Amino acid sequence: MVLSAAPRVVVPDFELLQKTSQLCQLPEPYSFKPEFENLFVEAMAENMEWHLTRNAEYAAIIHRSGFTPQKLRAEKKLEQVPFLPASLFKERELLSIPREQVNVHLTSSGTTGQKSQVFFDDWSLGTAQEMVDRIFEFYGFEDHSKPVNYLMFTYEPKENLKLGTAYTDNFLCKYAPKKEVFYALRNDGKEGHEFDLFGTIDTLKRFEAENIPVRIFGFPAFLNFALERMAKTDQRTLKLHPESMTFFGGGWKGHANKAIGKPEFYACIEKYLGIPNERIRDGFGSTEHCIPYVECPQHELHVPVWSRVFVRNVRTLLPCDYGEQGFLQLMSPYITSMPANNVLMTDLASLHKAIECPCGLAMPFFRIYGRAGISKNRSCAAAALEVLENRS
Amino acid sequence: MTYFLWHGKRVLAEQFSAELENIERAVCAALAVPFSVESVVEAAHALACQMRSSSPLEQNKTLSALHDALQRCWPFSANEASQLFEALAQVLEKSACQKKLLREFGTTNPHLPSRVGYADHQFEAWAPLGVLTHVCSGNSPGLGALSVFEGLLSGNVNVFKFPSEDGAFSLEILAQLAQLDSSGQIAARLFGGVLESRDPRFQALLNVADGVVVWGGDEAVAGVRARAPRNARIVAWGHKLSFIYVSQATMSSSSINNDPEKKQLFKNLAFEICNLDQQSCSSPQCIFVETNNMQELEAFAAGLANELLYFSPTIPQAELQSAEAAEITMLTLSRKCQETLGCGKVLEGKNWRIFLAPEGNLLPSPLFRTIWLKPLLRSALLQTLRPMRSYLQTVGLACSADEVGELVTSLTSCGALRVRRIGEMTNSYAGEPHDGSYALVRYSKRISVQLPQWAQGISDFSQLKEQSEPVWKNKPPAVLSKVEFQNSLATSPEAHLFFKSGGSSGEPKTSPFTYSDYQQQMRAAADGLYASGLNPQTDRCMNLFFGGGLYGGFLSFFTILENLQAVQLPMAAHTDLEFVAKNIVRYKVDTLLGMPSYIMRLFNEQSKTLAEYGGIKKIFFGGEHFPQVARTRLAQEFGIDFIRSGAYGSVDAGPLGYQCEHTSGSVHHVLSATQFLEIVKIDSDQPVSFEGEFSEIGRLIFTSKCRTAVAINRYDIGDLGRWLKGVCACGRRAPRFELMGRSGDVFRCGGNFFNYQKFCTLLSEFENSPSEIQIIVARNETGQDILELQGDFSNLICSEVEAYLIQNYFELRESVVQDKALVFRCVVVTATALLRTPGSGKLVRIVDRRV
Repeated sequence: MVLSAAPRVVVPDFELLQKTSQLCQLPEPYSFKPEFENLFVEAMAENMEWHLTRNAEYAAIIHRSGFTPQKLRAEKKLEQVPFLPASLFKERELLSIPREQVNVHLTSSGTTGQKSQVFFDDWSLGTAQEMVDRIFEFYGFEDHSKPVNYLMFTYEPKENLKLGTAYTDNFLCKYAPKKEVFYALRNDGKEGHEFDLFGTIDTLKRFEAENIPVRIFGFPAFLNFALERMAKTDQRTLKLHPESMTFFGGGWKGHANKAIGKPEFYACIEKYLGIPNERIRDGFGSTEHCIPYVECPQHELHVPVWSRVFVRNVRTLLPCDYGEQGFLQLMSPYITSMPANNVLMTDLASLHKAIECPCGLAMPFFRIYGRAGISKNRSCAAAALEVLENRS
Repeated sequence: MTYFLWHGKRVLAEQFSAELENIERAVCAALAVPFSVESVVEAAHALACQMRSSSPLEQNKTLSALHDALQRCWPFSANEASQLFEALAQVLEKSACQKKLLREFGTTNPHLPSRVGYADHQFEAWAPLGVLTHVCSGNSPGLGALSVFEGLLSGNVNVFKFPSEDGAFSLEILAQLAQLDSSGQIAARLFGGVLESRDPRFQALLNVADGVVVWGGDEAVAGVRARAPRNARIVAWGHKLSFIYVSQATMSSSSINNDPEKKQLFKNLAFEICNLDQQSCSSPQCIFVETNNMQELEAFAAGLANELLYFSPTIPQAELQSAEAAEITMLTLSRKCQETLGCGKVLEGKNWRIFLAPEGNLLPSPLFRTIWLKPLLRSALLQTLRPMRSYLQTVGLACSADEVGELVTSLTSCGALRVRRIGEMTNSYAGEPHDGSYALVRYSKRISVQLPQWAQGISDFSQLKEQSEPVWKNKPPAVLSKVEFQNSLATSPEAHLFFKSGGSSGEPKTSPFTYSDYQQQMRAAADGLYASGLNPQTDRCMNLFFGGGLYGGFLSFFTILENLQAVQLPMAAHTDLEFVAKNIVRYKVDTLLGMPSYIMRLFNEQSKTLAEYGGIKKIFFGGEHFPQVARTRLAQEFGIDFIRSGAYGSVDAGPLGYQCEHTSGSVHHVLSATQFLEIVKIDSDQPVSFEGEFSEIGRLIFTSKCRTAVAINRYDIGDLGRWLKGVCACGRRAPRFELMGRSGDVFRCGGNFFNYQKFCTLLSEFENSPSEIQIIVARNETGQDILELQGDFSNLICSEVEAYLIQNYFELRESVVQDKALVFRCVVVTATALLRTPGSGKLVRIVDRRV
């Protein structure tokens, strides 16, 4: 195993963002120490100040709420920090840095017209990627000892592609040397992408024969579709290399009538591909909040030290108790490019104490129950489900 | 217990699954079951009556079963339940069904192939698609049943997948409907139950479809489209959006807050926002105001908020489910952020909120008293709303009279389908198009048939079929005499037209028709006239019937000829006979339509002109008998040998029969498109029996199928007649009957029954016999009855006639010669001196002076 390299990115202004820098570069993703709490509070206050002086819109919202970074430092109550609804980033371009410092401009996928406009500077994106590095390393998925094959259930890249998921997935290919990368959502040479079902199945067979580890990333629905087809056509089960793994970007819940449950899906992967259950992992992330949430071997989404998660009552917006369902609220001071430091998501979730998960990690975990509400506020996974429907 | 329907019978899940193996065979069997839309209408009406029944539930099995099923699906209070049943009854009741059929198909008899013109023999009809698979959603109670009901009305075999939310209730409605239909036609056409989309059995239901009706959003429709047979017609009733548009004129006319009209506008807007918690597709999501002045819009918002503050608490609201609340919470948060950023405003009360936003686009609202308020100029309507065109439904419109034309055109070209008054957006009317189309037509196909030349005279295929017995609710009602009928006549609120009825029985009565009744009767009568030989392509007709004074003759024949698109000179029974004759010549009239007495007067008085002209080829008569002597004379002197009854009918019951080229004298076909005829014995209501080629003579009892203003069920019209056996040479299956006089022609005197017609028949043996006779019955001082035959016997010797009649009329001989109970004589009276009815000028045949 190769230890992770020294941080490659630095905060835009070390004077103003000292605590932020310190928090985001904590090396161990899930080891909790009491002093981290204070560090988090300080970093959040710093981050609020950063945006307050650089973003008039953010300042207006904070001023109206009456909350201040000073109050946060004094009372240390993170749950009181004003949050912004994720939809605000769909409706407005909220930039806290000069446009020329924008390194990456991502739009989240969406078929219903509204696309989030998300802007990153080198730091915000870089630090989030380093967090992924540390998590992959922590779970033992960083392995440069032998080449692997990649099966990507994501959009095959083409010029000017700004969709966030494809960007993320390409960058996931660095934790093991690549022999071959197969994109299941093929660029159709025109406007869009088409799911290559038979290509996917053939590739899996080929990868089995090559007998080197396979890493499967992207939207789980397409893998499920491939497995269903294998089951229907009575194909033999495959036995991929035992060090193979999967890492998905979410997308079961909320479409309960269309997708199968997660445990059944994992069982199918074990059965048809021979990947051990603990190496089948799902993740949760969003374009508006880039901190990576990756399943532990018990398939729970633990909160890393760099962020805090709250759940809020869908009627009152007051914080919920552990186990209670409500809106998912994601907080982290990592971001300097835009005031997405505390985002209220439309996902329905519940928060649980670390002790409830037998994996032993010290940080609490949350469970996702799909989208709250009934409107067409869709995630990229739901959009991907639509691609499937149009083909079936 | 959950059950499925298979051939309309309740079966358990296992049996349903087993039967599904043979669903193709089952639907084929169902398709072969004869269908009449009338059975569906009658069963639906019976169900509507049950739903409205006020008898206790324990006595009403149907309604109590429906209540039980409803409770299993929807948490309705007793009051809400009875409101729902009333609403369902309003859809199912007979008048609503008939209105719907008439609106959507243009006829209540849509499946009957009918002639489209007279130049060639082309017929068209509506036909069901065949098997209609309904994929229903659970957003309103009984929706599935109503969808299937439309499938039944259009004659389809129905296969259905109901959602669990409403399935049990919809199934119960259909099961009850099938039970109320004794013909079994409905039951035969019902297959389905509650299934989930991923249930493999659903595919079997789709596989047999000729058409698929899908209720639901785009995804549901796309999913079904992908799985349905490739050539099946997909009828999608998708999710729709509605909004309100308030025009510039409405905004600018004086101060928006004080003007009472504006106050009313706010009241109506508040109602729409609170009504049904906007859960209907027709509820507004957004109010667009025609302005580009945000201050004006803010003032408008304040006015509306004021009204909501007062109005919202007056309509109770159920607690929102968590998902519903979540959406409102999230959007409110987002709008408040936008407000902070100087974009729009949020005005909210305890359970309502107005989102004022500066962009004019149409966004869905999370509903439950949540409304967008946006500026939108009419010049931007098309550009803004067109992207939503496939989702737009109702526009609540407030505008001035001079704006309405332009705005309605703009809004409909954006995709809107209904424009309604604000405050009534969710209301509808019977026969209204559904989301821009007529469902029944979409569940049907239009078929055409071309027939050879022998089809000349045939107007529709009902003439080629046996007459069908009306669908009686329980058993046939009792026979109704003319007097009972006229006493029972309630003036229907639906009636438009009132024609003088009878008159011979003294007190004048009227017979009510709706315009639609009238049009249908006249359509049928036109078909009869066409059958009896009027050729609309060639004949030049003069309408000589009496008109005016509430009399229906002239007017009816005007409409009949109009229906046939025939050339017509609307003369009426004009008293200036010279004028009439001149115009016959002048306009080359070759076909006369009128009462025999008037026509004979015309020929008598204008014989020179008409004989010289010699162009009259056909006479169609009505209202009276055409005496044989008169026919003979017209044939001999004027060369007219085509004299037929134009229509046999009565003012009360409408047209009843028609002649064809193979029927003569008083033989008619039943006008089976609109009428059903029974012939019962003279002295009892038993059907007459056959004696050889004819049945015995009995009373004619008619049931009219197409009357809404008045029910004509088993009406004893007062005529006598008999059936003719076998099929007519013309090929029509509509049965033939021969008129044998009025049952009013039967009178008693001198201890015997006599029939006026019998006297006429015997008299026609004489050359120069009078064209009209009148019988006077009286009694002399000694108590002896007198039977006096009055008429123009001037060319005969009365004593010879008397002797002949006594010789050849058994009952007359018996009374006069044997019993000496009767004085019998013939008296010379000129035709003009005979007693006539004041209105129509009809001859009074029997005058009884004994009373």
